[in-house]
Amino acid sequence: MTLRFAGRTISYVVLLLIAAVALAPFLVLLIISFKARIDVLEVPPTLHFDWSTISENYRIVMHDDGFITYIKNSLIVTFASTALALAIGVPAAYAFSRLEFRGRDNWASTILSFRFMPPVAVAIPIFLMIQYIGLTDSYLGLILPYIAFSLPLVVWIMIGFFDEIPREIDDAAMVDGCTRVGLLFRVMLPLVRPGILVSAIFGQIFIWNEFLVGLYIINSQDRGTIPIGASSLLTTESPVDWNIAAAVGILTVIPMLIFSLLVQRWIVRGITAGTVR
Amino acid sequence: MGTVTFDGVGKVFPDGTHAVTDLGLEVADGEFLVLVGPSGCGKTTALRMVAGLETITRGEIRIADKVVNDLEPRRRDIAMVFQNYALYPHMTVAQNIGFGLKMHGFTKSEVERRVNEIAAVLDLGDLLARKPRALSGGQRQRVAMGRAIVRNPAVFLMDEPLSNLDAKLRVQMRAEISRIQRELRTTTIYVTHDQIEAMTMGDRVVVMRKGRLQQVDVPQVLYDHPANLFVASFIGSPSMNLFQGEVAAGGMLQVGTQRLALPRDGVFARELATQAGRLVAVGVRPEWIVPASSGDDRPRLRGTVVMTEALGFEVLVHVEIDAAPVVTSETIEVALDVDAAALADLEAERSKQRTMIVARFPAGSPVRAGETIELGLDLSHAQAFDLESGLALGAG
Amino acid sequence: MTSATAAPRRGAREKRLASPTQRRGEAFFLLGPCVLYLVVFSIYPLVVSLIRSFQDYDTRKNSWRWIGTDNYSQLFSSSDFWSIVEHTLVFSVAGVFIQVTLGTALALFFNQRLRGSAIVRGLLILPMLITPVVVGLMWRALLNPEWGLVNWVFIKLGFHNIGWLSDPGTALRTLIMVDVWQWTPFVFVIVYARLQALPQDVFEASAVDGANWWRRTRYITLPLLLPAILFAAVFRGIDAFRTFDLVFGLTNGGPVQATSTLSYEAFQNGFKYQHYGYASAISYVMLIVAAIGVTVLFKVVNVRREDVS
Repeated sequence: MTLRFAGRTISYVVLLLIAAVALAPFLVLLIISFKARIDVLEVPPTLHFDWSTISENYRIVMHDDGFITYIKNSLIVTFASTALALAIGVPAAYAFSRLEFRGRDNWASTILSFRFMPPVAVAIPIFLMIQYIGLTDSYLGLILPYIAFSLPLVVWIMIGFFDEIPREIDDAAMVDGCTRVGLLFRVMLPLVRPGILVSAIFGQIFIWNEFLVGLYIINSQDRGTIPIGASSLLTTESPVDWNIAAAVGILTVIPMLIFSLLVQRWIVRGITAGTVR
Repeated sequence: MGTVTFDGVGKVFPDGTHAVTDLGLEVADGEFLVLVGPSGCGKTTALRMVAGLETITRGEIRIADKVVNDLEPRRRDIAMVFQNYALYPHMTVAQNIGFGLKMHGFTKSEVERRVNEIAAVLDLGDLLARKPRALSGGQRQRVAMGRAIVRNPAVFLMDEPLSNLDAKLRVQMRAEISRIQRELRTTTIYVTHDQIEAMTMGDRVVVMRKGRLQQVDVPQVLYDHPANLFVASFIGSPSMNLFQGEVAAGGMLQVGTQRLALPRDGVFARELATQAGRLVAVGVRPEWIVPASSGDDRPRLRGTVVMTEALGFEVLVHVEIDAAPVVTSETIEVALDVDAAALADLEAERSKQRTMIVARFPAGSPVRAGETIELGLDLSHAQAFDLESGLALGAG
Repeated sequence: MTSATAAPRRGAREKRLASPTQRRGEAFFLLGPCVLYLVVFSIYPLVVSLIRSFQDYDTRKNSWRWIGTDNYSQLFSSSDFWSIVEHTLVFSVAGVFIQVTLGTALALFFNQRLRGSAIVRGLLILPMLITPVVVGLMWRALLNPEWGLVNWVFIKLGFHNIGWLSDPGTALRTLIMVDVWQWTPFVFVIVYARLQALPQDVFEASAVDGANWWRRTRYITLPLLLPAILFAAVFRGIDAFRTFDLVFGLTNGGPVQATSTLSYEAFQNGFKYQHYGYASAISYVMLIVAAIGVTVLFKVVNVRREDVS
């Protein structure tokens, strides 16, 4: 009995430790963002906060550094790219799951393998392409490559979800009077809603965080997404204003945090899609 | 007019499997035709080719005299009931039933009227607002039926629609489907694996094996005059007893060490008369084997009772007789379709050169396992088959 | 593949294109946009990169000059390149090894029913959702040589002050550590899901057989989890191999290239120094390695499919 109790206690200690390791970096960043510039240097940091300092830090970020614009840009670019990637990717995934045509599996593998393509390999040509068609510093200039980057993921996840729906349903719908395309929209789409949600979430996470390609397509502050706009604040070797940088970091993380708590179940589904059935 | 014609129909799958070979068949308007056979015999493929869900590799299928080979399913005026029902999970029962009508451009009120009508016929009135998830197996089955009936198509196609129901419900639905079909007089092609379903429901039954048609006829003819060993052993439960016998001189049949007198006339005697000196497969249905009594002049066969099964209204008596079993590709395939144990039994019989036969005795017959009994065989109802070709003797 | 089986296959295909359930137009309609899009935005850039890798860009004249395999020979004869290859491989292999070990251990740990563990499981997902730039920022704060919390704890525990990011000998290990922090949860999620999906009767049977926890884990659980572990490892391996943003956010490749990965090196050459041709050559070396990795991955996925059925 006591042995078992001891085992339980150890388990809980380990559990707390895991939670601490996962959360500590977030907490430290949060604490720094609450401090005045000079107080950042205290070790260990005191947990004494001053509301006026906090509000001042975040006010600087939100207004002076144009963070509101970045959030707006991020939302526009993320939603547009995800929606378009779904519009293109979902029908393709359906075709891969159901139709028979020459080289189907090779086509599917090729598309999926783009998921693992090093972005650097295409970043420069894409950058030059966007420049050539005059889309630098525009939303479309970001959206076009972002669709291409999230498409393989959408197709990958959606094939898995379509495969789970019995083919008899397709047969029944066709006997009932649908065409292939008609049944995709009338019958299949409502059934793979979870899949659409999952792939949308993954597309959004990726696009929300992307900045390698975006960094060079966007030069103007007006069109930058959060990672692009904030990168200069975040990545200088050692920022002078740690407290401000931390506030930027926190503001970048918070939307993702809320988002992930809302859709946690679906994130797990997405990661395991195509692996564990 | 809902006739369906198969004209030299063949199906070869991309992997090279010949699923259906040279199928020729005429389904009359209003007929209830059952396709039956073990799994992999091509019955479902044949049905799906009528539906337009499977490409026709060779030949033609005509519905109401119109070639449909290249028509999409939706243009064939057919409705189908699927093995797993294939109800749309996100739609209510009413939407499921009405979907096909909606797709064919019926007005909303017309759809509603016809759905309600069908729901009344199938006793689904209270369930119309439910989703398939909230239905029992039997209810789902009825919704699937409703979805087919409501369209009032030229042909119903049913792919093992009862195989997912429990035994009791299956008997009930069997009767209900037959009743509905009789009322509607809609041409129906019904695929099943279950020969009892085939016998009880079909106007005519098609037995298929390895993609080829074996025999097509009304159930009673199939039962009484199977065209070959495959049909003989597949149709009937318990199945037809088959054992080897040698046609001896003087109208006698040599079975193991025993000698049976053949009936003086009748089809069986005539069939065997041409086979003098040859080994043939003899088939006798269990009901034509009775306890031998002193009064009758039936040929007698001695054997050892291995097991009895009392079914209440009768007793099935399993008797091991001294006779070589009929082990051909046909009987092996049927045994394999039952289960691995059945195949093992057949193998054991072969190695012992003894055959297990089943007799239907009246209830209360005083038979015990282990005893030796005399059986009376009514050979006027027996069948003889060629051991090599498997074909019934005298047929054609 | 004999000609006998090939012949009906071809015949069947010709028929199938005119099949009642599948019309030529439909496949084009459904697949066309996706294929077209990837041709324009993935395949075309890849081809351009390939061509550029045999060319040299003149910034002043803004023109390209064909130089054959010069970029590649320059690359392969550069000691910098080989040391970066080494960093990238050490980073990928060591990092993924630790992630797989820890991730599997976590999955086994969470397999016991502990009150409140669901919340911690949820928190574990967070790191992998965060922009790598911010991950870099967090850890630069934690590891700051003057006021970072980690060094403070280390000194309290009686260790020396460690130059986590400033010491060339340590920086790569730090990079690995941060990658482990961010991506162990990924392995955990996959392995844990598989663990939950395993049939329980196997464990019950082995418990009845008298196997203790370690033996059960060693001889039953781990072998059953192996396909999932393998999948996670290869998947993560390819991703780690092409890591760019974490380096960008945490170390900028420094100190003195100690943490530069191939992606980062290509990025530097391409965007910073405008050595487009040279950068393309680096990308192509990476691409070939990644392609091998992807081939292995799809093999692993196929093995899994057969496993399930």
